Amino acid sequence: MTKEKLIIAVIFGGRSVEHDVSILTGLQFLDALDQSRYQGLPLYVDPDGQWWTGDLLLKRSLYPHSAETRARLTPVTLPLGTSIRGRPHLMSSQKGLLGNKIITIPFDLMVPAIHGSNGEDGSLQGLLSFAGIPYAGCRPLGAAATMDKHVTKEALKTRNIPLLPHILVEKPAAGTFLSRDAILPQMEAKLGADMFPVIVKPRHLGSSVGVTIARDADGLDAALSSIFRMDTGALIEPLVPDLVEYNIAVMRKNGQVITSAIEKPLNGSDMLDFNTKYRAGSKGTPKLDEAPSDGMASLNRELNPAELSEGQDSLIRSAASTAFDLLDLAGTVRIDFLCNAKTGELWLNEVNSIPGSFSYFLWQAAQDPLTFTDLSRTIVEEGIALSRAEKGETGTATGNARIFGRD
Amino acid sequence: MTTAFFPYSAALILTALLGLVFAHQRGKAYLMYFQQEEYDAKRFRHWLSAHHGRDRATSIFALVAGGLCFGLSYGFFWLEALGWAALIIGLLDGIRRSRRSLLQAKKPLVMTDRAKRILQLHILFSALLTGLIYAGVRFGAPTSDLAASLIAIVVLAQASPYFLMLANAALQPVENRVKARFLEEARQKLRRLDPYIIGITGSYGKTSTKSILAHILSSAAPTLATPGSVNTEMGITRVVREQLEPEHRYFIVEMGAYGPGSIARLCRLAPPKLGVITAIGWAHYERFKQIETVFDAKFELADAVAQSGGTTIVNQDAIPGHLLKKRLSDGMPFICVGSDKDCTLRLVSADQTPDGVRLEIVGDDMGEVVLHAPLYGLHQAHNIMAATAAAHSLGMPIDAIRAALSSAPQSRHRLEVVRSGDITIIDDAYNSNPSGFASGLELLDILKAKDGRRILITPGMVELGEKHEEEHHKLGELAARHVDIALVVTPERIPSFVAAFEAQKPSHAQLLRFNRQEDAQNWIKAHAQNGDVILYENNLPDLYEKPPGF
Repeated sequence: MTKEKLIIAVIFGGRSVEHDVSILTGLQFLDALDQSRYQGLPLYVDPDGQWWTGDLLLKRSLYPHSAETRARLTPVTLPLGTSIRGRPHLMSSQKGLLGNKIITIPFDLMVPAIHGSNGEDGSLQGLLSFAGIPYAGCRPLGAAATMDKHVTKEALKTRNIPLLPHILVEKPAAGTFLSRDAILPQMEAKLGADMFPVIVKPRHLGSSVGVTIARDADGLDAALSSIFRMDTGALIEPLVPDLVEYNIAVMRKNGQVITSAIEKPLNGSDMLDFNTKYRAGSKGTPKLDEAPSDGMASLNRELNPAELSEGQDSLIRSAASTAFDLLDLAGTVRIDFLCNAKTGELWLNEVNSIPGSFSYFLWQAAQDPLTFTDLSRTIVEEGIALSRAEKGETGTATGNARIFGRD
Repeated sequence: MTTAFFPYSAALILTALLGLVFAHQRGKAYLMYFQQEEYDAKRFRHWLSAHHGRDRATSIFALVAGGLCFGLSYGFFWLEALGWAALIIGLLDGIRRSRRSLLQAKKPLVMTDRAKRILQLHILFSALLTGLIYAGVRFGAPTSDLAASLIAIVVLAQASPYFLMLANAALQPVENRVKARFLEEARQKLRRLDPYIIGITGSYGKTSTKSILAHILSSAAPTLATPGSVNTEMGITRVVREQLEPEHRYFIVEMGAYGPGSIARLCRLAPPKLGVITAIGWAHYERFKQIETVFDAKFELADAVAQSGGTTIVNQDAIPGHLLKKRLSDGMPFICVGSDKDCTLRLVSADQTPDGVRLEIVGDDMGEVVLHAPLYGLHQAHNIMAATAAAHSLGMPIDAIRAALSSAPQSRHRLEVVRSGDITIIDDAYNSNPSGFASGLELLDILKAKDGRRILITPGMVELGEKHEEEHHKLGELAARHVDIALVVTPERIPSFVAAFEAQKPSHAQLLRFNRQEDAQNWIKAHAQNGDVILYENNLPDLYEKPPGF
């Protein structure tokens, strides 16, 4: 008798500016799943927040969905009030001959593959924890802490991890305005008199969305004005001269924290301009370049760059492992570093708890290489173990918390 | 001669049922276009002829296949069977075409109560007419059911759009009652939520000014603006009912002048505390006959604003001076923007740069300021100034305004610059006047990369009347100075443009002729190189609107 396959629901899309990249990440993960053990279940959250399932979701060319495609997908909801002994399931109401009929689609584990807000930020994870639904990757604390760049840096400060100084600017209340006279002195105190150019970035949003270089006070005003349309806070950091970036992925395997290959993204890809990227493909504008983006995997990058010294290599690995441990992370996370190519100085920049394509290309090139299928299996197994441990003992009898008498 | 045995009765019933489904689906499909034309019969009829909206496939199927078999059916009953089959296949195909057009729509049909009422009446008309045809054919000129079905299908397919218009006209009293209720609801909601209302009007520039102002104000507080070019009473009512939320602090309302009194009426619906008048020109000349009438109609906004103790921003450079002077001397509260030294906000210089418009302004209470916005076309300078003056009068510091302007969004298809890799596209598809065309040509020089070519793709302007030859001659001469490759679609329509271009062009420049927009588009796809800048003048870069294919 063959054991029944576990059903792995991979949730992607989402109400986030990184919606499109997330579709690629989700589909890649589904494709990588070990078919002998798992059965993938695509679960797509459209930009309006409606959840869908159906095999057509696997077809990349159908995004964004036409009304015709949509008619062949199943709109679903996730019931949250399921008993912890019950199997998690999606629900859909379908028109039958005798009125509406509810169908249920069971699954065993959910894998969040949504980047950015409403998915990578701990909100989805908290929801799943609350409902007792097993899921993969970071728990709410780690996901929320790494989504907030200010909190991440403040937490890591305590562990001797090199970080750039930053100034946090909060969005002014409606009807009030930022005065640069209040910000500039703070910047001077932290960055010195010769502080420009600086990097201005949203406090919470993921990826490169809203990240801007400001070369003077006017540029700073403009950058903050744009960021406060999307986010409630902004970080100002010095712009590292002769900037190169290094990224590394970290995860836990067999109880050990392990690190992947190090990549150097080429030609400043971290400053990818989302605006032009989206506009170029938006409806009605001429598409001269129709090559579909392959997400993070298709960016130009150099793996295991030769110029890294042993000291730099071990600094990156140890800082990344320490951050993974301190922030109580799980799944595969990608940790990004900034480096001054001339002086060799390194700073930890940010932590992505759900990196694009789950950083599988970094694991493929690791010292002990992992295929995407190995990686997905590790993520799934860890998720099951973590969620099982969380369920623990919740009976009121434990710890004498019983108030209402039972027969 | 009627064949009354069983299979034909079955065929008749099946045809009738399918005919009903066809009438329903086709009515729905037409309703979608009718709705997009805002239930305006004139616009809908124009759509029908301009976009090949009338039924061809189903009617031809019914006529040719059915008719042929019917003609031959005397004595050959199996040919009549073929006729029925043809009708049924034609109907199925017609249903498929209608459903396809409904499913593939970019702007799908919204089944509002009004749409439901029209569709129901449409089906009633269809059923009545079908009944009449059957009755007429049977009793008037006794012949087979096949003939009646055939006629009914053709008539239904052809009459479907007219039934919709008829239904709409018949339902007008109902709609008027519904409208009155909506209007009252919107008025009450505005009173309850009490957002700060800003009215914008003008012969041109009002839509751009509105979107710039909305962008500036939304960086300070939640702001709602009427979308696109919604500027009528019902349009504004709908925005208020559906989109206005308690958190909106500012509500920017574009107000269209459709005759004397119309803006005053809009101001009673949404009483503005601040007004912006962008220009008084000849755009609506046919409706008003005299520039004084246009002026008075637009200035109904200023009157309404003054009544509530507010101020109106006016663009002095685009308003006839003798008319404005009188108003200004009346002591009404105005803020003037323009080039004149009396203006509260003065334009010192405006330049077009590869990154957008840069302007130097001097304000009575802000000193000298340099503003920059990623918008193209020097006409934007006045729109930016009007929006700046409006935001400043609401208490927004000039630093905050300048910061917000640096990310102002472009308007779609109006000198919209889109960079696609190393190719720059200037999408001026919605432009329809020669001065806009000229701005586009000048922009080619500014946006061209060092080794790139300046490419123009255009069918020329339309509706220039008696100035057609003259204006196109001027544009051809201008294009010769700014264009390396001109792709002219339907060149025989604009011979003066072609001749002027050929005569004045430098030796390296060339003019290519195309019969269809699509062919010119394909040429671009095959030949565009990095560094090129391509101007789409008065046509859409992609084929937007396919005929529905009925």
